[in-house]
Amino acid sequence: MPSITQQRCFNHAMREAVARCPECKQFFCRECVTEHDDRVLCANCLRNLTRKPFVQRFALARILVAAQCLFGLLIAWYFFFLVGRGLLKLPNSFHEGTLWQVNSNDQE
Amino acid sequence: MKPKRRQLGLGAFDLIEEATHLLRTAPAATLAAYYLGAIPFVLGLLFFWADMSRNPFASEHLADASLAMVLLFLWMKFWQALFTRLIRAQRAAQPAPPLTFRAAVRIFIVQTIWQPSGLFLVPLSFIPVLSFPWVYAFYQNITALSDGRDGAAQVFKKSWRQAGLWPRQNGIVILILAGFILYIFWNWSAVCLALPELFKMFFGVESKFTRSPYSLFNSTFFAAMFGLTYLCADPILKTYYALRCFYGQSIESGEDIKADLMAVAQVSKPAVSPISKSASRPNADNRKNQYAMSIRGGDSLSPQKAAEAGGLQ
Repeated sequence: MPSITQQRCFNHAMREAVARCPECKQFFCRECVTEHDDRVLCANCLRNLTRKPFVQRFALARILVAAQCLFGLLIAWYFFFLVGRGLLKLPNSFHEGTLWQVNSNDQE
Repeated sequence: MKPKRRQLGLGAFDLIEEATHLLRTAPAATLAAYYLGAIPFVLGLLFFWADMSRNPFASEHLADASLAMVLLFLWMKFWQALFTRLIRAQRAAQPAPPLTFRAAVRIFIVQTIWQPSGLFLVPLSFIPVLSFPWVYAFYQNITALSDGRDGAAQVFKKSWRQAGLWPRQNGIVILILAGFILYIFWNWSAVCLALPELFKMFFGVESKFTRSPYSLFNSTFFAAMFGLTYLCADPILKTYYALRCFYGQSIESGEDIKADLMAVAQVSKPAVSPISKSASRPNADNRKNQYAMSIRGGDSLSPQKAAEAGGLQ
């Protein structure tokens, strides 16, 4: 990979690059980058990071989150229901550990 | 970590060792956070198992019991997320950010959305088409990365990314810990099989299990052994994945370097303090001479420069 000293700014082709954005991995000059949360980011990535998430932008999205939670709950419920049903269907001899024991009457 | 090592990741043994050390030095509150969630779930699971395998009327309340298990499962996942949050803060040598009600709700929501699918997908990933280490790492990362700041989509994205990181190390650790888990299982089984005989030997307690040792080999016994094994081994696994995420994210954030620097700064503080303590003694000339000698390597300074040096102190 070429070093940063050989790179040009992504936005300004005539300028030397001084930093590489850790989000988009592009090189930028000193005017195109800024520090945010102890990291040097480009303006585009900073805008994306500080933009309000989808959930906050739309009230409808809250319903989506609730639906996702309900779906997750149903999946887990179905899983434990299947486990319980499986346990119910297993014969008693399996639960007692006598399934593999040979009955002396059967042998005779 | 050196740059190349940062890209390749730590060795599997190094990371297991670090995880064990971190867990050993963790404060009681961190372990309490884990067991506050895991013990009720394991006890609930054992009750559910025994009830479904012995109770003739169990089918009548199967749906209710399953729902109770779901709630216990989510409760456990919530506390496991808090546990990994504390572990990561401990590794970063920083106090854990305060847990607000909003953050707690967000953690619970993230766990509720993603973890249930793991109940099906993790066992299914044993089918060679799906890679078990990758799927397992993904669901562990969901626990490790849910810190109450990110929403479900961001946590999914981060976990996905971290799950693909250092696959060789992940596979080796899973293999090693699988052997370790088997070992713990054998240990617990041996102890619990020997217990009735020991009770009879020391206290003269006769029981069904001493008259017929084979009666211990029932499905509830094995479920209990799995539960005990889970309680012993899972904190190590959770710590390992918390560390893996910490190092994975540190490639971009440099958090590991910051933590190491902080540790160096803390170590170097006591080395500096004796000099500063001696400098604050009332004998000013002695102080100035000491400082001057430390700078000049034995040559004394003029009083004026020494005074300036004292001022610098």
